[in-house]
Amino acid sequence: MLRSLYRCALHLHPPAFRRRFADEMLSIFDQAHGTSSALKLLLDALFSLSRQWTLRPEFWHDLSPAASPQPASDGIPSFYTISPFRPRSAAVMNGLVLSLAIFCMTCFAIRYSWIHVLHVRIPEVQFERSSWIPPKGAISGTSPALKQTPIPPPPEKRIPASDSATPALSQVPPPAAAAPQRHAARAAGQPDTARPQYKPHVSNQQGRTTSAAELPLQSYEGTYVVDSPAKLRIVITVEDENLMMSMSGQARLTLAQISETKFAVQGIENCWIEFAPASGTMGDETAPELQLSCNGQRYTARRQP
Amino acid sequence: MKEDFTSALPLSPAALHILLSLAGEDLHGYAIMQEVARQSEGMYKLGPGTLYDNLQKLIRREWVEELGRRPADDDPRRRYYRLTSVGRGVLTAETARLAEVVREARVRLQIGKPRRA
Repeated sequence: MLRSLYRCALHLHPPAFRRRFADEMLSIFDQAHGTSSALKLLLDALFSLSRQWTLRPEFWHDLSPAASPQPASDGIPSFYTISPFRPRSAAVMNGLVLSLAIFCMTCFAIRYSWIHVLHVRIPEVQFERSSWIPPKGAISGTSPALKQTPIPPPPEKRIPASDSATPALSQVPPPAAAAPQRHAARAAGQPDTARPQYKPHVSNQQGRTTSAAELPLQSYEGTYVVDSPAKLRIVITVEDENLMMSMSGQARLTLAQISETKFAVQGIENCWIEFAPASGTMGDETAPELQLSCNGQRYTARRQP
Repeated sequence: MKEDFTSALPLSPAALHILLSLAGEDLHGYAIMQEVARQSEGMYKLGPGTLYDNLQKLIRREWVEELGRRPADDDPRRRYYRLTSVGRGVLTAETARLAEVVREARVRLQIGKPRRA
């Protein structure tokens, strides 16, 4: 009975201690004479059990088998532990908490970057004008086709519209007026050989494009009226080689060119104007209408004669 | 070059008795317990738990090593242990320290004795 208890107490010792000393301790127990000696040894084993688990964590794991490297078999690498170090449970928990915190911070940073787009200035873009394909409605000269075109994403998502952050906009060359001329040439059956190649432009300190004067922005100049709501008048003018927009009862706003026919309204977020290309027939090289998109709402304004 | 073992001193009574018992010959665990009891004239008795706990530490410090061989007619569960040269050096240093303690104690006790008139 006592021997079984003693064996049980030895069995509960840490594995390394048990493997190394349990048999010899049991042999000592077997040499004990009398119940009192056996009880003393059992008590000693219980003390040893508590001491090994509480005061000797460095001896919990037997290191002798791990310290000797195993020979590698053919083509199969073998791994063995060199260092007997084993981190404490508290250290493992601290590492876990720290890892979770870093993971959460990384996720937050990724989410923040999605919400807050960084306004990075891209120096120049080589715009190959020959690759530009006009919209369908522009060739046919019908406005309904233009109306059916899906609303493009707001330009502010990629390019800021404020005055302080729009030099990148003004760096894009304004090729708008070339479209009516090209369409006119197509209508007359002439080959389109006079397509100018756009070159990178550098903005001056006032943020104006130096190449704006090369293209006739005057083709967009005029008064446009929105049928609904309430006959809103949009006046497009050219001032200092820039397109300006003024609506009834509001201050004039500068238009920054985004593409051939699209202009962002500076000072208003998520607002831009897209001109319908001129038909080019009968010498008419003016945009027949424009579309004003503001915060997802879209208005079509026709040019007034 | 003489090694300096003073950083390992003082030894615990159990470690001192185990090293001292192994200083004469290689012994197994039970023999160490009996030798310790003999050295101390029965005043200090090591239990198996204390013995193997200390042996574990002494082996880790390489003061004691386990022998792979044992007598053929002996219990196969027994293991024999030997004092290493490092352990012998530590034991020598501890003995010298204790001798100094004893000498100092004797001097002080001699001074404290009342003189005869």
